[in-house]
Amino acid sequence: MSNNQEKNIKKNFNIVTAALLRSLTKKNHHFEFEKIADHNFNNLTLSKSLKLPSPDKMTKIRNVDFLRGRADSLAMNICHHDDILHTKLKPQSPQEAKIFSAAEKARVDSIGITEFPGLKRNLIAAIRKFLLKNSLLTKKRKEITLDIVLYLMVLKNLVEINFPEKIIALINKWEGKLSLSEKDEILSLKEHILDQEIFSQIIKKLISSLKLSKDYANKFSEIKTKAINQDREDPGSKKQTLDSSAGKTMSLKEKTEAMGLPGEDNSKKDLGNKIKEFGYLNLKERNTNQSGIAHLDKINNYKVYTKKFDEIVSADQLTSQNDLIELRKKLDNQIAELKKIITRLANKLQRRLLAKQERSWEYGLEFGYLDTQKFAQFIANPSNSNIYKKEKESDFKDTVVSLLIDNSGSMRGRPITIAAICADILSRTLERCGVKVEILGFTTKNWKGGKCREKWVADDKPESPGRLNDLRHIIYKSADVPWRRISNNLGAMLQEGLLKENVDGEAIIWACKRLLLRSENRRILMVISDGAPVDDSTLASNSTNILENHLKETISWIESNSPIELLAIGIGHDVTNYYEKAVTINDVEKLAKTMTEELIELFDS
Amino acid sequence: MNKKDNISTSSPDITVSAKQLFGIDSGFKCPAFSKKNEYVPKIDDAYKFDQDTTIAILNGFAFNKRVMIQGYHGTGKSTHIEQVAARLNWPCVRVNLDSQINRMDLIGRDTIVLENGKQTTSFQEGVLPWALQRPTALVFDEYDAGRPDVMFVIQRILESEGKLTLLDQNKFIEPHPSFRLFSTTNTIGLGDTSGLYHGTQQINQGQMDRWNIITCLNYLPPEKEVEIVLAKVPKFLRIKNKKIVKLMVTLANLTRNGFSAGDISTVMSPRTVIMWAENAVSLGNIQAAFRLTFLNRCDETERSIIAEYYQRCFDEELKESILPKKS
Repeated sequence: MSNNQEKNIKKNFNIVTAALLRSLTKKNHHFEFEKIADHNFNNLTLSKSLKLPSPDKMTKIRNVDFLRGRADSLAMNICHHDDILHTKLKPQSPQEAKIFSAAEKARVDSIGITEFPGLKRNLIAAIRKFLLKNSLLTKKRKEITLDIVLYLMVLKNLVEINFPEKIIALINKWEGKLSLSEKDEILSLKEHILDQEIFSQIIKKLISSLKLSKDYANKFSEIKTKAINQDREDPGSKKQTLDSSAGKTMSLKEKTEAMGLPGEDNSKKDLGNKIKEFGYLNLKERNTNQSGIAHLDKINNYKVYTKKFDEIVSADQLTSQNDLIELRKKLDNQIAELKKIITRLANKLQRRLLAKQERSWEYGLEFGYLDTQKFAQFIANPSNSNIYKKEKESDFKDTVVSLLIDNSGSMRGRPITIAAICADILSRTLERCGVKVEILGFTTKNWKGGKCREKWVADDKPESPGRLNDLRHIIYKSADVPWRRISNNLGAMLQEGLLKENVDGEAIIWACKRLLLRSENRRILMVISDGAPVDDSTLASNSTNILENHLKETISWIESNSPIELLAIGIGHDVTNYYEKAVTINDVEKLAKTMTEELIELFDS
Repeated sequence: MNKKDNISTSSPDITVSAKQLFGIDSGFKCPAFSKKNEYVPKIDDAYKFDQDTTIAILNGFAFNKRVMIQGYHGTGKSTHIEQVAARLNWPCVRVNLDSQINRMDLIGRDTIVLENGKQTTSFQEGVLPWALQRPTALVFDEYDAGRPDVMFVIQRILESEGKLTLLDQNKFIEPHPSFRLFSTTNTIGLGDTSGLYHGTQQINQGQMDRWNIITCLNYLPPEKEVEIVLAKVPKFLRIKNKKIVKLMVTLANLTRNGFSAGDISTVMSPRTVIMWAENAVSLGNIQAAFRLTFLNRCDETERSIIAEYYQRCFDEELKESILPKKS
């Protein structure tokens, strides 16, 4: 397998497999992927954990069919295995319970194979890998335990499966020792494959009968010793008990669809063609003949010590794809309750916006499209010239909204989580109504001035250096990129160590510049912040209100000289001093309602 | 449409049993016409009827109720109404409410006609007055795409005994006792929240209120869907067996689950499965037909997920899969 192919697999396997599992099980679980440590049959039988092995940690990838097989087995488990019933019916002794579980696993896997032919290949690969890793196939093989044998025998009987020769040899050896009635029992399993209860009863009978048969009797004690050893070797497996009376474990998180949200998508047909991501570089290259942009940089002699260390990143560059998914999941879990409320508000917003987008025709005009219905009038009398129609300009203008979210340390915890989810849901709603949305964040790269300050110190600390820290501006969603491509990015807001200090003035200038370069008629910038601009390093080396003054003047310049509509929401901090259009809320829980109301108001006027 | 036609005078003259005619499990008896005319749709013998939807439509025919059918695209909503009408010999006319339909199309307008060699203007009725005076079933397709200003024109006739006033003509039109009204829509009039149905409007709630029966026609149980595919594409059995159709429907259902879970953005409608079968017959190859029918419609980033679905159902590795083909 080439390097590229391996890289491709490592990058995409988890995502693609998780999606597949959701489709197979029809449940919106979040599946976790981790190192392939276990080749323990205990872990393979009916594990309740949603953890699966990942190719990420494999040093060399030769074949990943077995990984698929593990995933498929888990899916079939979720779909067809009733754990409560299983616990009710299983035999008392742990050895017998193990064999019982193995047979049930065979049943569940067989249902899968019957329905999905591709599963056969994957499951065989998984079985084979398992047997290999446990030295059960090679010449110097260990003695195989009864649960594994029964699993293979039952599987072979339920579905037509082309096992590799060695496995067939193994099965045949043990099948030969069965009595006639035992063989019949196994054959009868096939017609009860869909009925867990009857199937289980037959298996229990079979187990008792095997216990009595001398060829199998000692196998039972073997399982016992092996089980003890395995438990000692692998304490992890202890967590996965088959006892469901403890209730659903934490790893089995049932993620129900929150009001139909996961399926939503901005699938406007005109965006269906390739969409180029308008990164900052592209914007720079565009002809910026707007004098406004040039002026923004020169407000009030505001200085920046050096911009060399500043960075503008896209959220997916902040961390790995897998981490993003984890964080996104964390985000969704934390505000599950709030999501319902926010969705309702969002639907309200959508209805209001759609109601505004009236489109109608104006008739009886002198120019425009030919109104075919009036054509008869024209023939009757050619001097009738008002036979044209035009589409009335709807009041609803082409709009783009930019949400600029304060990513400073004070937002840590609930505020940033709520801000992230509000941004998520509201922007999806706006996109459905034809309004483009950008989601941006701002903070700094370091706490105490970072490289900027180091340079200042190295330069002998000149007086009044201006802003003295390395900025970090984050693009969570660019206006032209559809939602489905960046839905995980918002998780990055929850990243440990991301939220640091905030230099608001420059952040607003950055967001404005992005908006000014766009062609929409209406451009709205909504700033969400919870405090005044604070950067210790800057404030310590300049006058104490340098940042605040810059912010005030930036805002007033934008409000009076640019086409951008500026609006702010302050969380626990009075922003009405700075901005003309502002709302302060004391409780971050009210953020969703406030954002919706402000947006409705913006579009109502 | 201006000719005096003999259907204006006819009325349903027989009663038929729903069980016999549609193959559904119901004792419903519905009035029907004994003779066809040019407006009765052609019968598709292979059509499979859905129990609930058919009962709803029959209620509409029998008791003059206004019936709206809502469902995902490609599920056969308009066809259902047509086929019921076809078997009842009930004249049926479909109107698509697209953005260029306006009041004049619906009510009527002045046109120039030649009479006795002279040009004269005469009022030509639009589809509403025309249908209203005849025993016709009028079906509005894409009801939620209709513009709000146009929808109000329909408001009056939504009431079961609603008379229509033609202001241009100073005429009041009473509906024919056998006039029926149906509609089909993708959304339920509250706007589209799935992102699939671009261009749909919200429907005025006052208007929604006037629809007596609202029924949903979504995806059928897999066995039914398999039957329908085989009924529509009988030639398929020449190239492959029924099990393959089952797998195709299974794959379609995986895409529908994937869509609900938010993992992919395109779904396979029942119509897509039928197209896939037809393409497979002409190409002779299931995989190639799949690519041409559905895979090429999907977002590039999602094709590997769909390739995983394909592997599970057909045990074949598509080239879009993340795992390379084995040599």
